Amino acid sequence: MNYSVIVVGGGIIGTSTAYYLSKLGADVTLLEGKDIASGTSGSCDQAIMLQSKKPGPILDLGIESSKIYAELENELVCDLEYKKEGGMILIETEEEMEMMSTLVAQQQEAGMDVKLLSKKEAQQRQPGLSENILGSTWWDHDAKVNPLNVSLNMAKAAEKLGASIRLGVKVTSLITERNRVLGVEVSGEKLYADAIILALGVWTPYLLKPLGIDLPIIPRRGQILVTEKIPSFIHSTVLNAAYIAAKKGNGTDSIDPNNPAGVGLVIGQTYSGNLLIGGSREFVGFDFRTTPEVISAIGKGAVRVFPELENVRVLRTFAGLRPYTPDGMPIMGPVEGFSGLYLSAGHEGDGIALAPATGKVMAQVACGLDPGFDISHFSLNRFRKTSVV
Amino acid sequence: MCASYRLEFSEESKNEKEVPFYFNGKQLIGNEYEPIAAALLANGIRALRLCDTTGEYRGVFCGIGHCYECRAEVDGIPNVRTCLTPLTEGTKVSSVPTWQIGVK
Amino acid sequence: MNVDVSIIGAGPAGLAASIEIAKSGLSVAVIDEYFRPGGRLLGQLYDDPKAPPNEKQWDGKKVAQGLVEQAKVLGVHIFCGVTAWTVNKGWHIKLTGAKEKSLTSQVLLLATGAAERALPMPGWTLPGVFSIGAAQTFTNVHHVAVGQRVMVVGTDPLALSVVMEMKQAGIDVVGVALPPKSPISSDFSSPINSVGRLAEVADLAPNPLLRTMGRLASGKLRKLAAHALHFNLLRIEGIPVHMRKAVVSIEGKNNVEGVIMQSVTVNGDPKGSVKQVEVDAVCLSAGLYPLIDIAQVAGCPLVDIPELGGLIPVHGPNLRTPVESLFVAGNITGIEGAKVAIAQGKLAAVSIAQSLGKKTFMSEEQAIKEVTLAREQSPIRFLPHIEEGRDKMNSHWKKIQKEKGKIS
Repeated sequence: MNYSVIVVGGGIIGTSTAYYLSKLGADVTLLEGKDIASGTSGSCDQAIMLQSKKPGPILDLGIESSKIYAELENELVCDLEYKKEGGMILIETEEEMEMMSTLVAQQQEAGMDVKLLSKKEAQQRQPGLSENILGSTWWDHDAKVNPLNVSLNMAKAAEKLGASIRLGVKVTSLITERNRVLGVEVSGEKLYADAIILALGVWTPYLLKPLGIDLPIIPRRGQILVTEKIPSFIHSTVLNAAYIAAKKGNGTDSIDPNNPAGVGLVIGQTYSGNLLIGGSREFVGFDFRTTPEVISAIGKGAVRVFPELENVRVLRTFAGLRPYTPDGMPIMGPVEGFSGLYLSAGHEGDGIALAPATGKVMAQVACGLDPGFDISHFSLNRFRKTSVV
Repeated sequence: MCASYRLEFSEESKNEKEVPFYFNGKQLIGNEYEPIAAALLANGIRALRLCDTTGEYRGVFCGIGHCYECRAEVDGIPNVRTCLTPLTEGTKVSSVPTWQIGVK
Repeated sequence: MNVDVSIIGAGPAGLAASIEIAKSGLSVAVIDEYFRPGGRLLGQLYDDPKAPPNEKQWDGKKVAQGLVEQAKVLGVHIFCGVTAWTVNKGWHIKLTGAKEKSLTSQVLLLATGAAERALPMPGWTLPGVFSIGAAQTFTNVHHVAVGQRVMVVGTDPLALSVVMEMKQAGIDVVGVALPPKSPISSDFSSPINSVGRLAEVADLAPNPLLRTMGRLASGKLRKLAAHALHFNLLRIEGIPVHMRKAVVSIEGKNNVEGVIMQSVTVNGDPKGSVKQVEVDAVCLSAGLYPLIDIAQVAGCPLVDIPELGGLIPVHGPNLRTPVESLFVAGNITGIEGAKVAIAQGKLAAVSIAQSLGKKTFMSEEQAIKEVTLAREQSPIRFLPHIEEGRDKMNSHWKKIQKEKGKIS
């Protein structure tokens, strides 16, 4: 195919898109300002948690992705530290019980075999759980993966298929001509392509502003603790219901005054034995710092449900900026009014879970092929009150 | 062999109180409040743990808490820096974790 | 706990500062990760030829004890076995390992000291391989021998002084040799540079030959001295110091069993015969670097000054940093001996008391002079061009003050 595509952004979404474009035979250039997975994809946890989603387009895209993940190590011939180990959402209060029962009922109706477990059953599945929990959910199909491995191996695989991966190359602007985007400018150099896909996560709005497009993606900070290695302990991805409730804030104005930093619990154990303990959901702009208050609150939350973690040391902490959108759904697809320009950003905390299918679908869309998946729900138009044209 | 690692070049060392402690189940004698690493070294014990990636033996390196090479399980708490932890009577030191979370 | 001044690090700088600050009528808390106060003082035991006749022996443990007693009498709170895991402007210092979970203070003084540079080489993870600082600590503080036959790798001033301390304690040090040439050890692995470094221990050396050589090796004569290495082998107190041999690997199955030594050219390239020496302990010495992590967390800019030992928090001659109410003292400002650290602690105390509007026991100028005096009287120089490094930091400070003046 003599069809050229520039992918801007070397996170998990950009690298995945570059890989599937290369597979389709496109002439691919991936431009990354720093390094592969140096932003949000390199500062997150490892959960592929789908049972936290309501039935709908995101869940559908997630299920497509999990099918790909199950085969991805074989396809790329590499170790992604992928494991379908299941996941549970802990329920600590009556309100949470009500919320989770409703969600599980919706999911069961949609054909997902998510279960509600009693305290005893939950403790059997996950020893070490506190006596104070009321119960949990359980789904066999939740999984974990190392996002750095995925991003790096997607980029490697794309390169093997002929893609040009250019690191340390920062795109400063888009080259436009009337209602067409022709290429990108990188520190004085002009690069042209038939299609440009922006996969810059929280940084995507910068490139669209000069085009008069106000992209509603806001950075939402998540802080994560890394513990020392411990013997096998967490056997599946464990969330608490408070963390899901914290996500629901529909816009920056609806922050829970009792939990302004959106602290909840998501905990998993990596292949090397360290625990990754998150998280928070904070609107603080482009501030990557961790704060002692939130770190302490996350740690306390973990010890509350796993009392024996009291003796486990935290080695370090980090924060990542998740690309939040007001309705919690990514923005994917062509940009109306600018032919040749495509967006794939705003996955918030679902980027890892959605990356493979996102990349595959966007590759097909950008090449003018039928992705076999309806992405109209993810269109930017849903945020544009009046059409620009 | 134990005595030969203990340097007796000062009056001070004669005032130390000797206490029993355990390394991998074996009873040893050390000076109260000296770092566990020193008590082990005085008993001729250098290998404190196995590296969890290579399986090789590891022991004390920096002696002041920076390098984390001297970790061992102490009284049921894993990954304790033995160079920073004073010895008390009956302290139990273990090379391999006996502590298993979630198992009571 | 709420105090006027918190100090991180209960070594010579931190303790000396705490005493003078308390004398100004301010409340002080000192924290340290080790379970007893004193820092590197605890391990120091040597003869000081530059000291007055009745103070010839420097017993760091006693010095530390004296400082701790003075501090306690003055009501200084000393918390040991405590780790500061973060600091936030204000200052809030978060702690683990203590009942107190945090300290709050108007002023924060960082006296975190230094750590040893690693010297990776084949076999260096075997039990029985120690850093030279560990050898010093175990010998002088805990009175435990690191081994029965010990090889020391590195011929810098710290290594040679610890060799002498081990020998005095009755440990069999079988030899001292250069490290293998590698990108990491390059400064330390060539005979030319190593002979040069001997100049800095010359005064401390009990051996006349070494003293002569040290003088010979200073300045322009350095290269000549290395070429004229008739003395491929020196002896310090009977211990062979191999100036033309490197330890290229450490051998053993579960423990150190020996080292492989090889002759090297004047530039440190391996050449010629290989020999195995049986030892049960190896001490590696590659110098020290300032422990700056907390300064970084506190938002203090850093500047790389190799003459001071690496990355250093920016600070003025009075030990203030550009961050409001943040001060530094001791090895965090550059690698020097305990006497300099104590003088710096006092200087920091003067600056801090002034910043809080308190009367001080001496003027800032006087305190700065005492630091210079302590430097001149130090028996050991860890880094050869320390004054140059200090000048560099001072001019850097002046530059940023000027820029600040322009803005405001």
